[in-house]
Amino acid sequence: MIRHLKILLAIGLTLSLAFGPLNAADKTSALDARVSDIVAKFPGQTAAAKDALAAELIALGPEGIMRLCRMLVPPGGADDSKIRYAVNGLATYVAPPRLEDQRIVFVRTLAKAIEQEGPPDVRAFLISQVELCGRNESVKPLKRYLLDPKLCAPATRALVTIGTPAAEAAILKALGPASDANRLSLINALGELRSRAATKKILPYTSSDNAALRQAALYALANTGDHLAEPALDKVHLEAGFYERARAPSLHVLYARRLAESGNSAGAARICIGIIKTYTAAGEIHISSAALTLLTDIKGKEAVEPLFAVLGNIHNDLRATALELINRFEGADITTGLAAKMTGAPVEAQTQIIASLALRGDKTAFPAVRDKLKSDDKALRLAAIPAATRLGGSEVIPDLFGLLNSEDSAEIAAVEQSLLQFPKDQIVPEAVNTLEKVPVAGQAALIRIMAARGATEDLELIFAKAKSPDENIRLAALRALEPLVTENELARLIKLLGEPLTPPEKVLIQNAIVASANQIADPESRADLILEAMPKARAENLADLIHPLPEIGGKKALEAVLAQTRSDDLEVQTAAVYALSQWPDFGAVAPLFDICRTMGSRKFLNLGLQGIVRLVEAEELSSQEKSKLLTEAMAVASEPGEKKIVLEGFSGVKTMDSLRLVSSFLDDPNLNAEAAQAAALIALPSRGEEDGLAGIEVIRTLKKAAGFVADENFKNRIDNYVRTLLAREGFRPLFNGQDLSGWKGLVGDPPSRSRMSPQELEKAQAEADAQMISHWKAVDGILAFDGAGQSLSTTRDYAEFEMFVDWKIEPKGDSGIYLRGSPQVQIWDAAERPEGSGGLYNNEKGPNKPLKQADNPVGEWNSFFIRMTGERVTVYLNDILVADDVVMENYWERGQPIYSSGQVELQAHSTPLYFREIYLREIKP
Amino acid sequence: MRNKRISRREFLKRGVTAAAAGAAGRTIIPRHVLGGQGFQAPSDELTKAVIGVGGMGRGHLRYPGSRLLAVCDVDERHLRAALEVSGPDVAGYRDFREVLERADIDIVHVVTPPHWHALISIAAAEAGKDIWCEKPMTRTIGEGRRLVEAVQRNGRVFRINTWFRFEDIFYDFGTPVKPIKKLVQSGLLGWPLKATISETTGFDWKFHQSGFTYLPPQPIPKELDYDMWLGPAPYKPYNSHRVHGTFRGYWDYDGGGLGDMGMHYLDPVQYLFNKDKTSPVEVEPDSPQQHPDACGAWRRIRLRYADGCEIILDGENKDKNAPFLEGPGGKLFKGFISDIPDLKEELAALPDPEPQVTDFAEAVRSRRKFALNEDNGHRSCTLVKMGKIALQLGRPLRFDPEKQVFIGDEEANRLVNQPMRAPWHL
Repeated sequence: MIRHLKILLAIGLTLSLAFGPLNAADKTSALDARVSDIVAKFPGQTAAAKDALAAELIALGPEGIMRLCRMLVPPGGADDSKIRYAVNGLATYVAPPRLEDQRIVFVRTLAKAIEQEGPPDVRAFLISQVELCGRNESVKPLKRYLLDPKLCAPATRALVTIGTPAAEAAILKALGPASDANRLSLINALGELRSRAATKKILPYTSSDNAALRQAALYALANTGDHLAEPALDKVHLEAGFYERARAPSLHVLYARRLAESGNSAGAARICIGIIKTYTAAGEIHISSAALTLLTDIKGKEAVEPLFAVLGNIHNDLRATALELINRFEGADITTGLAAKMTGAPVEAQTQIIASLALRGDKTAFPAVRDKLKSDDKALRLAAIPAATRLGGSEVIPDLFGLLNSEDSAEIAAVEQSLLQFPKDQIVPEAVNTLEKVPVAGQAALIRIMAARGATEDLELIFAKAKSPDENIRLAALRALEPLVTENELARLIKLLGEPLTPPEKVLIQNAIVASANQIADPESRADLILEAMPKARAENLADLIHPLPEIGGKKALEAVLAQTRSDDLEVQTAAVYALSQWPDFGAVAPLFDICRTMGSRKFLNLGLQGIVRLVEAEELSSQEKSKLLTEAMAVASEPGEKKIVLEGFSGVKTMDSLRLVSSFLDDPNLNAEAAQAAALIALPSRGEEDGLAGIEVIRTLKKAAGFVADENFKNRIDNYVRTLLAREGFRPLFNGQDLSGWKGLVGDPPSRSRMSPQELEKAQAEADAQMISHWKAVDGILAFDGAGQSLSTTRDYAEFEMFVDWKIEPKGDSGIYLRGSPQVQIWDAAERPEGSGGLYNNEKGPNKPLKQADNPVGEWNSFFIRMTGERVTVYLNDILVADDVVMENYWERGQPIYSSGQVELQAHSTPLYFREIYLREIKP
Repeated sequence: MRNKRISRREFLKRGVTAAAAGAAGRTIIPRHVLGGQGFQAPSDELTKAVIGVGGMGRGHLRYPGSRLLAVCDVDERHLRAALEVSGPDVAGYRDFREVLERADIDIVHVVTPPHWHALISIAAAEAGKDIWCEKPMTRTIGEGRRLVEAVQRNGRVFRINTWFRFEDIFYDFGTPVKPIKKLVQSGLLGWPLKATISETTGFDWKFHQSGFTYLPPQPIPKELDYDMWLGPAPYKPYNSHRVHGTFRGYWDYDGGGLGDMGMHYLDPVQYLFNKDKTSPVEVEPDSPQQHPDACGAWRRIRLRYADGCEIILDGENKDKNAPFLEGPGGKLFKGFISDIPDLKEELAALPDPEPQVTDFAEAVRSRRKFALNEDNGHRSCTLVKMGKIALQLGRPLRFDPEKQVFIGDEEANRLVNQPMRAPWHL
């Protein structure tokens, strides 16, 4: 019994040791798991989904939210996008009053999280979330960051946003101990908060030698409207830049405005009047305008008299301001006074007053403005025409018709525009009446007016004018046909097209034919009259009749056009092929293919392909169907120009097949630019991050395509999408673009290193690292080697992996990528070694040359993709397979298989080298 | 390149001159007494400077109506490329403030990324320049309001670089906006109206402008002044995708395809709805959760005005039969196809919409408000920004068009007025 008890106890003890009460670490990892679970579901696809996720996070309490914040990493580390979605999701979730308790919990936890020392970017991000949803309770936690060099700026912005007296006090308190750089943020903030309490402390900075502080202080003081500021604003620092001195009066006006807002109208008015008296020259009028505006804000209607006086000023911009301000006040007395100001005023001032009276809209000004229609001065007449129209309405119509006697095109245009402000019944009858009584310019205007007003009853008159000896009238009349004709005029128009005409006249009649035919109810009958006329038509006329058919459409029309594509007359044939290429419906695709395949003409092939591509793009087809048709089109194209047309068609088909087809042209020097453009448009997301293509093959293709894209901005987009894809695929940068973190110097080789003692290794490594720094440098995002020195190695070892690396050499350059510490994937100058780069050079038994030469010309960038699993290596060079699952032999110990893991090395071989965009992802077996 | 400063000797000389001229008593010395660099009497020919000469900016170099005198960029390569294609009398600058010093420049083209638009445009207005600003007008609503004030108080002429409300074919809708305005004005569609902006109705929301959520830091190219490129935006480690052709992908600088195309598409709708002086009261997003840094695709944004007019931004193009405009009286589809019978004849008889001021050089000369100016531009840009804020917060919001703040949502208002990074401030 006791023996059993002992055993039981022993078992019990063992069990409790193994599965005792959860300790703190277990609790944390359980919480982490729950947080991670929720985070993985971000971003919410709907508002409700996001709110539900946020609620789940909130329910985990402060510890859960803290764990979430601790998962943030600075830019460049792992991809923490989902964490940022989650934190920001919380910040927007806790907004409504019913969630106030949760908001408090959230902002308190944010404050704690910011307090933990961490990367400044992460803390700044958290502060920005406080800026969104924090209130007075967040002031105290934020205060301490006002003295932090990196966090002062975001903390200040958050405090300004919170804007409570406590926030203002906190900023003010920090002003004294702050550094100059931080002081700038603080003074600006106090200015935005219009802090009177800060005036005394800010005042000294208005005479600082530091221009930025000085300007900030002056602005801050002006914005408070504190009278203590006035002496400082009055002084201009003699050392100050021109910009600062020129800004000083604007600050003065700002100060005056704040004075007025706080009740000191007299003080504000005094400053305004002083400014208006001082700033009187061209180039300064804007300052007087600002003062005048403020004065009017202060004095209201009392300002009208002085504003009238300004109308006599020589500067048109000051007069314009005065007129704007006068129009704030309604009343016939003001209108009359304004109109009276025209008397004796210079023409420019009068035109301004006329325009202003129109804006005022007060009809009592109509007689005075109407008078100006009879002025000898053209400028006054031109100003009066639209103004009188606005004020007088239909009363002004007779005057307008009277003005059509003018020979001046500007005046005719103004009258035309004004007459069109009236409906048909008020102007068309008079237009018909006046037509013969006015000179040519006026007649053309009247014809345009009749066309615009749909004067279909006067179509005969228009047809008559279409035969006018005057070209302007003729063209105006022909142009008027399109809006006026009905289906009844179709036969007549077709006949007209057969007469001797200039090309622009033909176009106008063709437009009218289209307008007329398209009014026929039955779509299949619309082209009938044209088709009837075609057999009798001479060649040129036949071509002209074919031209409008695409805009009319119909099966019979299509057949007729097809028939004419076999015409003996080249002009007719060309018109027919062109019309087919413009055809509006998909039925034209098969005939277009026919033409491409059977007619020898390159011109027709071009037209055909354009038509096919356009129709395929427009039709609702699946990607596969589009791809199939475009592939057929590509088979028909032989010249680069023709292939380019089809390549562009592929850009809308976002599938892997489409990408593969266009990228097959990346090696064609005549087509690589267009192929690259199409490839990028296929692969890059066109709707957020939803519909971009992804995967290793896409990365390889885009890297290659980017090399052929001339437009910097587009190339930039491609490069950045590639980096996003790499991050999503789990690749990590081996090179951070800035320094040699993650790299070390080369010591010996795997066998020799394994024979060294730890101390020997440490010493040798230190020496190698010192040497490394002299010869390998990060320059503008590129890892550059100067040609002297040793190879560069990763600090870590890798077993199964995939990597991308871009490389560039100079003539006679030589290098390689060592895998698992062993040579190598070869890099050299293909001009010297025509087999090219990418082969496993050090193999003796198996393949050691690349499958083909895929190098770019020396001096250009190349891109490797390398996969190593087990003993086998696959290499793509510039997206071309050059080593296909080849066993990599062990150079250091022939007879042994290659090591199972080891460092990646960039081989130094006494020539300058350049590497960039080095990414690696480990593969779990 | 020009010297940053006048020499101290010059300064003191001018200071003495000023005193002698009797400007004592007030020591702020007006420019006409000080002289200033290149101060000239006004002439007939307008002159311009282009600030920001990357891809878009180089297009501005050739805009007609004014003579180019200066280009400015924080990237040395862009600056050099722009100088190469400009004449010998064009000077290059790396700091926009030096450009604003020049009294001989009338108009400033602001073609930087949007996070800089407000600061440079306001500085330009306060320096007496007229402004041609790229869209979107500003990055935040708060910046937009301050820009409107600065332009109007200083009496400047301002235009935005979109134009579809007064000219050109309105994307794949297929016609200009003018006949659509006529239709709306006629009342034939009824009221209120709903506009749908989608691939079906003729508009591409350019979701490829999205950002990357994973941005490893990269070394800053030596030709780029990254600190100045960032300007008021928060400091984040450099990655080439943040700048130049791809900055639109990041909330710190813009707002994806919505920021890029929003004003082009929405300004004409605002004009059509006659809503130039107001804003919607409600915005409702339908989107996957947005990343705090990188802009992503979205499905749908709905804006609703107080009178019931709606604008639907249909990013996923769900409704393949959507009309561009729809009202109780009828529908208007892409290509100006309508279900209203005899529409063409009815419309032709009606008066044209009011004419607009469409010649910027002429507007500058005569000091008139341009067709698309700081006022209506701010309002149409606000449509874009309401959308951006709704996306970033992932919830519907209510807006007060008069006060221009969100109602009952503190976080949304924090995105209206975001403080800038020192030394920059509004």
